Amino acid sequence: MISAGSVNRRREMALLIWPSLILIAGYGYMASSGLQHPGWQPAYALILLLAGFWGTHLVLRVTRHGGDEFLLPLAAVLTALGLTFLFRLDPALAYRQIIWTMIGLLVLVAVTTGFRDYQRLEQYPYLFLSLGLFFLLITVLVGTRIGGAKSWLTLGEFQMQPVEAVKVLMVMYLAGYLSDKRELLVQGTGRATWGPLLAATALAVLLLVIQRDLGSALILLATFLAMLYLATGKGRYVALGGGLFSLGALLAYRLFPYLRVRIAIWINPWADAAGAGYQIVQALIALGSGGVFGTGLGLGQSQVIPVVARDFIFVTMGEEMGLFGSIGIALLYLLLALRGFRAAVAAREEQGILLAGGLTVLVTFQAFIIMAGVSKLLPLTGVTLPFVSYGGSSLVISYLILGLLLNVSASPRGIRP
Amino acid sequence: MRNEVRRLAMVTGAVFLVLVLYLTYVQAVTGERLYLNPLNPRLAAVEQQTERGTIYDRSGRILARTVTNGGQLRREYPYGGAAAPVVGYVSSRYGSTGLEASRDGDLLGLGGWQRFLNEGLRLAGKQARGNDLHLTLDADLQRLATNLLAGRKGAVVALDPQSGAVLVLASSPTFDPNRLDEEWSWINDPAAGSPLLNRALQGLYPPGSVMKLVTATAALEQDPAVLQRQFYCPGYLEVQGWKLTCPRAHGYLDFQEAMMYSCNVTFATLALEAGADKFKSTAALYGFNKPVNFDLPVKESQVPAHLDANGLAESSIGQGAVLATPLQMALVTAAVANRGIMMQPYLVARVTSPGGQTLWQSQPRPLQVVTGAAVAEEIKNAMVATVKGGTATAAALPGVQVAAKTGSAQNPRGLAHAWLVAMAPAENPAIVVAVVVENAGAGGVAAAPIAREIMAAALRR
Repeated sequence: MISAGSVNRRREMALLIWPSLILIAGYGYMASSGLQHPGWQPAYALILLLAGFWGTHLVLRVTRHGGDEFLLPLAAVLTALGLTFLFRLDPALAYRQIIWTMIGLLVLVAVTTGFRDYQRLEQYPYLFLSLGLFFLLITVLVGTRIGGAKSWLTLGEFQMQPVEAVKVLMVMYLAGYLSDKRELLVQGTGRATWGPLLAATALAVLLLVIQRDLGSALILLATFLAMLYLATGKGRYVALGGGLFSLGALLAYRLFPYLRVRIAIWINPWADAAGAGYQIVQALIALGSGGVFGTGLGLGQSQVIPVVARDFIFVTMGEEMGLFGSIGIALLYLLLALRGFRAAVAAREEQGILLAGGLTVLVTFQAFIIMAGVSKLLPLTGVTLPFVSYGGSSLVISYLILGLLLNVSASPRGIRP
Repeated sequence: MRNEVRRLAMVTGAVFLVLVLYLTYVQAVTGERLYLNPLNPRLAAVEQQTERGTIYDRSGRILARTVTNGGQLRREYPYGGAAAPVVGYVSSRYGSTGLEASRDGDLLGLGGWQRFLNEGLRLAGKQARGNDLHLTLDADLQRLATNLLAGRKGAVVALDPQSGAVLVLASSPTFDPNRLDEEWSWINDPAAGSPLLNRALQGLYPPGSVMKLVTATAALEQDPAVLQRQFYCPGYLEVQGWKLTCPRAHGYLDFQEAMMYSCNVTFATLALEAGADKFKSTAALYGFNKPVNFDLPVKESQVPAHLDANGLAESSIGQGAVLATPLQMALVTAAVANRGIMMQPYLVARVTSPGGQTLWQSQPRPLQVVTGAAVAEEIKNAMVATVKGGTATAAALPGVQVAAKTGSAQNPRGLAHAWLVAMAPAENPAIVVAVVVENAGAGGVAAAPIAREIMAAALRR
């Protein structure tokens, strides 16, 4: 069994060559482009990042972690691509993102070494629930509104999006709660079983609607329904949840003018191409201008889109790497999803299945709705592209999720401390 | 639970497949169209580093070219306001219109593989050059039409009915694209009469009696015996208690005389006999209620979807809710001239590379078989009679047989709009002209001389 683990890690080592090559190519671009951040040498950034990813690999190897060998390289490829494009858009942001990447990797190392027995985490579902709701409440009360959504906490120089943590806490809570109450749920009803579940979810969605962070509300709901399906196997529940959500959405559509504007923009952004539809029209034009082969790194002009480094970075990638690039990014997330689900299938106990399944849906569905949002497949909801968009909270939480997925995938291989 | 995970994985796969297919659609299928959208700020950068192609008329006369002026590229329009409704303008401040906008991709060399080549040139710091357009337009006729309209609001369209090639597309008042900066504030002054509006393509007018060509087609198709009949015009026709009037009581007349004197009573009677469905379907064959595929944006001409007896009587004489562009009425006339076959109108004949190589060439192609040759022939004969001794005598040319139809379209703002459509020589028409002059009264008086001058000049060549 121990040898199986080291086989994994050897393959991980081979796979880590690819993100390393992307980083080196990105460094080549930085060095030749003349774009520089004062006070930082690109070479130091490159060495720091390579050391970070290879160091993490080394830690996993030394601690004989049996986790899935694809997860770290996939995240590293996405992060490396994200950093390259961030540098091209805004060198100062890219350097901050490097720091966030290092913090994310530290969290990953901490989770994969310190909390390898993830079942221990799940003995306190109500702790996670209360913590999650507390984060949400505090955001509503003292949060800052940035770009329409009141989803930021500002502490002096420091800003964070608590909602990123809330999503993970919610999955942790549901994994514990659902595995505990699974039998009762499968058999049928009873207010005692359904009450807390529905109340918690409704509250979360309500708070998000108040914050106007519809993207996060949508992600939470989809994750909740997916986990409910995993726990009960009943499509009825999912249909019921979907139906309830549709009703709620309809009600919100009538109540909130900003939602009506969003939908109108989605249906025809060209009607107000210089105003409300500007972002999405310019995003479509950027994707179209990239065409099949792309303009080449740094040669696109997606900077005309506001907050391009956060919500719209996928558009820059689509313009500069073309259709091949944008499909490539989508397929990387699909691969990540498939490895996550594989960890869920292989998990030894119900908590593991629910945790891995929930976290996988959380990450990949978020990636899907922002990729679909900026390309007008779905209405635009402002969320980050995991591992890629600029944003500390998002990046650190993404690596936290990666660490948990690594732990779940390691458990069937019998390596327990 | 493990089966549920597998199913969830399959759903995820399906969702991502949809995304991949959709991205393929956006980037590969609609990519070039999005790139060439006027809202694309990338085009402004390309514009700075590219020498825009030249636009030529049918004989190689220059309508628009780029000249270097102290290291700066400047667009020059030798025909000024005359060609402006067709060529448009391009400006970093005011955007672009006309062919400068609709053929941006050709003029800047941004189509297909050429874009990569030119982007490579720009990256290397060299100046790329776009492609040239060769139009079917006749610059001399275009200038003549603009001069004939000068001081009035209106439009002239002339085309070759056998090929669909557009020879004249004039609109008045117009503006000088060479002096856009100086004239901009005046151009947008309501008192200027909307010089930026291309009345030939974007002006929707009631067509008045010119619509009788459509009504005649419907009637003759329905019942060829109409030709042998006598009609009686007491000066009015009562339809559901509403009186449709003629300028005077024409008395007894046959089909040809009804056309010659433009008898409202006879044509309304014919339309009522043929029925609303026949009238509407004939109008649809002529191109009403359909988007026009053309090199420049064209407004859609309209016949109301629901016609009661009143509406039908009104529509049959081009009043009520019927609206048509001058191009539309030129196409109607061209279909009559071309034995019932309407040709696809076109303005760009060829696109050539900077090296003179032809990259694209338009082919004349039939757009719609509107009616049989016999019906078209009868209508044309009636139009010949109209020039010989009817309302359109002012369109007659010495030595050439001309066929024409007048129209005076009532409208809420003052005098009737004067219409005239004509073709010459009638035996084998080489040119079709449609003229509209706003609020100028009778078509036979205000519009006919303009059409006559254009035809005379065209046939002299």
